[in-house]
Amino acid sequence: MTDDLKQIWQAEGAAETFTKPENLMDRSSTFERKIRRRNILEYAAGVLVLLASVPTCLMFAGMGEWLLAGSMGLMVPATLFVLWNLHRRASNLARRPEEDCRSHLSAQYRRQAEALRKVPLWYVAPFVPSVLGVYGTVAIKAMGVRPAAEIIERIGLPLGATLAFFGFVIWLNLRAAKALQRQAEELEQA
Amino acid sequence: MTGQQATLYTQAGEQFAPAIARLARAMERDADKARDLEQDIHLELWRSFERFDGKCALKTWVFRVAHNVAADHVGRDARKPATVDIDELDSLTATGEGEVARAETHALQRLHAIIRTLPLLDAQVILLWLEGHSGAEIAEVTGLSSGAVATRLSRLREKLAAQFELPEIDHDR
Repeated sequence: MTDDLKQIWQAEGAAETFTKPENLMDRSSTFERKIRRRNILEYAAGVLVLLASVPTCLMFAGMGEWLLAGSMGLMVPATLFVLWNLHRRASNLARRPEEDCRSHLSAQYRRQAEALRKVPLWYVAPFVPSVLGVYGTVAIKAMGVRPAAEIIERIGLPLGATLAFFGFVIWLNLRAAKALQRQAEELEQA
Repeated sequence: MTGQQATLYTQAGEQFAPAIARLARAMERDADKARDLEQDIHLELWRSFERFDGKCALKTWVFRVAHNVAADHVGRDARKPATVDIDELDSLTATGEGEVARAETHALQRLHAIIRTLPLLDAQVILLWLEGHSGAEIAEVTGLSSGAVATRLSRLREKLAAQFELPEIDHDR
């Protein structure tokens, strides 16, 4: 091996050239393709939720179960709100890669941390009224028909599990947000 | 497409195409993905030249765009191994010893492996140094202060020298 790493390094790929501009015109970057794929998946998931909740809502309405229909109906604005936020947040990814590397990295970390920190507000909270509505309606209907202990036992467990799942999702996202925030601060102090 | 955009792109290609290819290969192990990354950098450079305002040198602009696109690329890749602090470089296992390790291609592979394990900013600093940038130029591209670049560079070069058993290094180069 030679004793000059720089020389070895710079000797590699000396004949490389840039892609011709005409070949770049129709190209989208890996980043853009990834965002597009993610959006398609998320919108597909949203459509599935709508496809499940709208007929269920109509079915309960047809049966005269207005509280259950209302609760399921709440899923529709909740899903649309989440989809709108996903679109808004993905659209905010204006790229200015010509800024210095430290500012660019730090801005990326802060943007991701902010999105994760707000997950409880725009991703979890919209579905809470609907979930509580369904469990609450079932509980109200069971009151006076079933013993209180049985109602608590049969509804408390799934409700607790659902809320625990929401809590776990929030905890995971907040933890990741804190780690990203720390990375951004370390970078800014470098 | 503007005339300035095309002129800057051509000029950048003539001067920096090999460096961009080396950067992509260093940051991405998979050859196809490295080629994709290289073309992503070309694309972002092409787009960015519409905004080029001449407030910094073309070289600074090109390397900022290239390193930021590469950083976004590796930042998204879950397969990237955990990074290692500069001081822990000694504990990295060399991919080969003896005469084979002395081959230049092997040296490049080892360099790539080391670069991929470094935190992003350190990787950027060492890559710019390998490309022959001065401390001031590295500071301008990375946004670090000149002092911070000098400190990092000194530590990184000492560790690299130890890894490759280089002779005495000149810290002023």
